[in-house]
Amino acid sequence: MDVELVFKIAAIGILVAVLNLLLSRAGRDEQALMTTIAGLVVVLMLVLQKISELFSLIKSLFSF
Amino acid sequence: MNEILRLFPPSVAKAIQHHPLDLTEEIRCRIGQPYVLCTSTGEISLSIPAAPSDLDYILERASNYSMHACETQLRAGYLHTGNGCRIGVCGTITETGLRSISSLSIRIPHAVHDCAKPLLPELLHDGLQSTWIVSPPGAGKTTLLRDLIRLLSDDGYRVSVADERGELAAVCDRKPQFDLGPRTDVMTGGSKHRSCFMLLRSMNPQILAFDEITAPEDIAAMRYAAGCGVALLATAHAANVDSLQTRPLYRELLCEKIFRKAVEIHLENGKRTYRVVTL
Amino acid sequence: MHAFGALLLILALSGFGFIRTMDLKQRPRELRMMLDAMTLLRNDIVSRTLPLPDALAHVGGTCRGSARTLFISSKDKLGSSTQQFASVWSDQVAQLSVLSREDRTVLCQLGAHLGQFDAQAQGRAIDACISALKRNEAQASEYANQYSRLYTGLGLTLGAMLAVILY
Repeated sequence: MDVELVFKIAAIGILVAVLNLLLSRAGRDEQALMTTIAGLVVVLMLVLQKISELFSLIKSLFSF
Repeated sequence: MNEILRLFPPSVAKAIQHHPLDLTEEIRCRIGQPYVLCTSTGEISLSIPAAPSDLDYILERASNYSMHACETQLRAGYLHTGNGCRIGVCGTITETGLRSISSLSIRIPHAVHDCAKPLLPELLHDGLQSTWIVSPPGAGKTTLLRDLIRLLSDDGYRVSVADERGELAAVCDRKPQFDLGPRTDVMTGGSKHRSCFMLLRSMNPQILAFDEITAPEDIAAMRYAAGCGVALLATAHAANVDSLQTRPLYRELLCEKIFRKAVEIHLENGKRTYRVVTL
Repeated sequence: MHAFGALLLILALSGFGFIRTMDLKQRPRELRMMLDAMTLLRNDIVSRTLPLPDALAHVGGTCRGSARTLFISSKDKLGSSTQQFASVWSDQVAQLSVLSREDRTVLCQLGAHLGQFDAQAQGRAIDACISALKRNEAQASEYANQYSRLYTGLGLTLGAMLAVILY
């Protein structure tokens, strides 16, 4: 189990929250929303490989 | 001469350079009309007309980019440059001075060295007495006066000059641009009346020189100076000594016999002749 | 090694943020110096009726930054140039990259009045310039205050994020 990945996702989550706060305080609400979405996309990309592995695993499990 | 050419926009300066500036006494600039160089023998017309921007350029340079510093002069219709040129200004009179300048007349001073030398023996004949220099406008009164001051100063006399319009000495950066001699003190600006009293009280002059007596107050100052035993030198606009009588101001001076001698300047065909007259 | 790289990344991006903040704060500072210079100039021209080149030298000598550059180089160029003062002044104003276009426009408009007409008219032109620059300075100050913290924080956070992703 890749503990590093969990910590990475957690760190990205915290940083996105901080960015969101900074941008909304400066009045740039649209940019804040964009960074949240971007953070989400980055995290998804990080776990993409793991999800793909999961699906292969399930596929191999159910096609014996 | 280069300093005078620098007053003009480069294209105009180039055109003027083709002609001898040494003989030019005046340059006249009128918007829409060609530039004219006036010499003692006649006029030379340049082929380029004066544009409004040309006049702005000349005024800017002549006033050293500081029209606000020349307000008093402009209100009187003229401007003095640092090198002794007097620029007559014509435009629209407003409360604060002159606006919408339409024509300029740039008078170029020429120091004629020793032009007063032949007159000295006659003037100093019975000791120096108050002398008047009389001539029509443009005949060279100021030039003669300037040279006379220099010669007298060289001779050992203490001369004080009340240079109301800055034309005699053309003081720039605290130094006279014209050589007035080693024993000459110059008071620039103010009224002649005020300068006269200041000089008499503080500079102990033997000779007091002014250009053009114009105001009644000047007479009082002269009377006082003459009473102190100071010899006076001054100029006056008139065709000759006899026509001085027609002006009340000069008549008063003649009656009081403040001036004892006069020098008439006659200008004919570019040649000047001087005549000393005892009053 | 990874940690070192991550640290460098964070430092680099925070550095960017910091530089942007400094740039933001520079404009109001320069505008304040320009305002001081203009007040001095007004005094020199209206009260002391100093000739313009002397006033430029005097004011330039007492201030710093882009105001000093503007005044001193305008005065120097006057002696050698064949252009009118307004053009010389505009050329020098155009080189002040620290100030915004609006600031430069205000200064160019002033150049058309300096040395022209009488002292009172010039005083009024300088006053108009001063009030316009004051407005600009207030706006720039507010903007800088609002966004300086943002840019620093942004740089730091983005640096951290990139470091985390690439670790």
